[in-house]
Amino acid sequence: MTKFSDILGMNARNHLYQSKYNSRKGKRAADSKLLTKSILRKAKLPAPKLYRIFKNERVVERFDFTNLPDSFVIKPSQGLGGEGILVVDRGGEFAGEWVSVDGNKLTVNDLRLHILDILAGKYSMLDLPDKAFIEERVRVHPRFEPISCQGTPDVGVLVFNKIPVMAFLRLPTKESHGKANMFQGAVACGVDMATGVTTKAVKYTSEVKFFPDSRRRLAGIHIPRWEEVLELAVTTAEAVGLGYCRVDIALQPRTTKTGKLKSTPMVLEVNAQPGLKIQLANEAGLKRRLERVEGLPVKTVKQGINIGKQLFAARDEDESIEGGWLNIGIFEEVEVENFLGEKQQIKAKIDSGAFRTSIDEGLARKLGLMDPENILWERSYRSALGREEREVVGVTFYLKGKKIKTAASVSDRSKLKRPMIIARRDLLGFSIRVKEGEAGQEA
Amino acid sequence: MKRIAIIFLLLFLAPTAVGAAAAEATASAEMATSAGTLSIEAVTKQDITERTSAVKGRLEGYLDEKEIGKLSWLNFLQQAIRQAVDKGVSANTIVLVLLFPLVAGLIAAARHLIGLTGFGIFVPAMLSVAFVATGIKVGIIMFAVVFLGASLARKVTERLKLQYLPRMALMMWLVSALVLAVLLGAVNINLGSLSAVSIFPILILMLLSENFIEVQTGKSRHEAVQVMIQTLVMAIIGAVILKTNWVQKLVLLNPEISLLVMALLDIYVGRYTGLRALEMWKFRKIIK
Repeated sequence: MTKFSDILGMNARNHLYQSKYNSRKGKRAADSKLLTKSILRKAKLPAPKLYRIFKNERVVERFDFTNLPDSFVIKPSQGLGGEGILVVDRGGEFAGEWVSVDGNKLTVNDLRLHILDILAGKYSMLDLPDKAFIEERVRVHPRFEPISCQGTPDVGVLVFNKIPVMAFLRLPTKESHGKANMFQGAVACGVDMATGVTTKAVKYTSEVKFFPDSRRRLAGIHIPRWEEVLELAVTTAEAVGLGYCRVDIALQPRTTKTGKLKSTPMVLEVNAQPGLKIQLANEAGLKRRLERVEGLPVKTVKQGINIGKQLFAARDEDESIEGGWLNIGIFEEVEVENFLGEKQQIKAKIDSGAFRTSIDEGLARKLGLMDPENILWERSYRSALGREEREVVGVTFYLKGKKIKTAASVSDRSKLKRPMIIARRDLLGFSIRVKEGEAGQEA
Repeated sequence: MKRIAIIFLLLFLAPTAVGAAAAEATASAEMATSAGTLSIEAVTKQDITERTSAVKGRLEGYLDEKEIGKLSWLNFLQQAIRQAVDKGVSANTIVLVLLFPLVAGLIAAARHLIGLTGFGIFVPAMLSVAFVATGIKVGIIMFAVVFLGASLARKVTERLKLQYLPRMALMMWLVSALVLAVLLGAVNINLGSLSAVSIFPILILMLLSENFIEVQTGKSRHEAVQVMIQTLVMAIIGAVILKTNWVQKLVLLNPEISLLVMALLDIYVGRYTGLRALEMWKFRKIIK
């Protein structure tokens, strides 16, 4: 399938894309993290909050480190390959003490020394003097916790001509010392552009199936807020003024007042010279993809995202091929698994107004779902007949080929046409379109 | 900056004859190479001609063998070369100047067609010229000595926490001391060719040691070793080409065509956008 001529090499990247589509101004902005940050701030795009910039030694001496929060990151503005980044995990035993992610105790003096090293150019290109800054630390999203070690995973989205072309999820490992750089030993997972689900994974250049430190599977992980991640990548590329670049995005998790988990995608950095190993993680050639979208007139960000999703879907499922959304009508046939795992065709109604999927009691009994072992819990509710007890059972069904495993409440629907209602809890990733004929139909 | 410094140093150290030879060479061979390159060539010429006078005779013999007709667009360089050689310019200098763009072009091709990174174009090219002057075997020994000295010096000076320039100077001190020890020691262990090496290749190697140190500080050990090996391989290939008789004869007798071919090679390499050989190896797993 993939041919050598489909793969993007260094020569083609530099000659055909980088030098042609990236302006000098854009490259300069991408080379300096501080400049990128200020552009993002002006464009009102989310990025980790900047606490302090250090331009010279005097500022370092005067700065009061004790006012810093317990967790933060110190970065060089023009560091190479993630070098010189110090991640502070939490406050230490006493004031003016911190603990880094790899467990070392840090004092104010250690931080000062590190910043002075950065200013002296220890981590910059060509040993030139650099600037340092302290910013908010992006925490590890709970979904990535089992498949990352110490550092924060990030999603790299390659954007060309306003179209997201390829993406990977980089997971820091013990070997990479918590850094998300591939050459240091981080794992990179290829991502299905349509759905944001991981496909293959590589470490260095060889394929891996499980995360080395926790032995968790690496395929099939859904990146949260995929749509927003893509949108942020494209708008960032536009704001910085780069036609061909990779935008690295991390998901900052936070709990809302109601205790729910919400995450915000944030731009960590923009790379005007993105690496080529993303092709290994995705098992696909980048050159072919770039050639397909080169010169396409893309009017809006949304359109660019849709083009990317449609063209570069990686998985075989309908969901992926249709660009991340499955279109369904109001009345659909679903396949429900009985207790033996056999599929049975059943008529169902889609009801986004209801919360929990429900199934007819008679049908559930027939399918063997009322087995005591399959009853998850019982739920009481008030009806015209007073208090009633209803069972909630485990159900596995297929809607448009997508497997959905859920809990359904059992109710009496024997007098109705359709013995099952699919409710909004199980409709994630579906787009409901009322078809002609359905609009006038009563039940 | 450093390149210019080295070139000036060599110019300064070279006897006055070099200046004249370089000027002659510029006039005779309309080359795209810089004045600095010429002086380096001139310097190395000295080494070769001084020690092996047979080479001089051989190259001039080639010139005498070939009959060239009247001055035309096809042989203007050949005419000029003969005129210069008759007036005393060494044929060796001319050959090295003619071959230098080939070496440079091959180093560029090694980067863009094969994927060997090395240290840009300057270090391997200088090394190959140094190797021609010393002989490859002795050259590699000297290279190893300087490289070891540089690594050792880096380790030692790292602890002292010095400013950049004094630190470099101290490293040079250590490298020089080591080279001196080897030169003096070589007499005792009967490695005559080692102690017969002249100052210029040694100086080139010692000045390049700064680059060797830089690559060690800037990159991981694995990468640094890789860069060094790739540079060494390129330098050896360059030196072999510079020394090969039939290549020398070919460019000396057909300077117009060979220069044109080299320029075309450079343009081809510059326009090549396909995969490099090492990239093909890297991505072989996703080819189906």
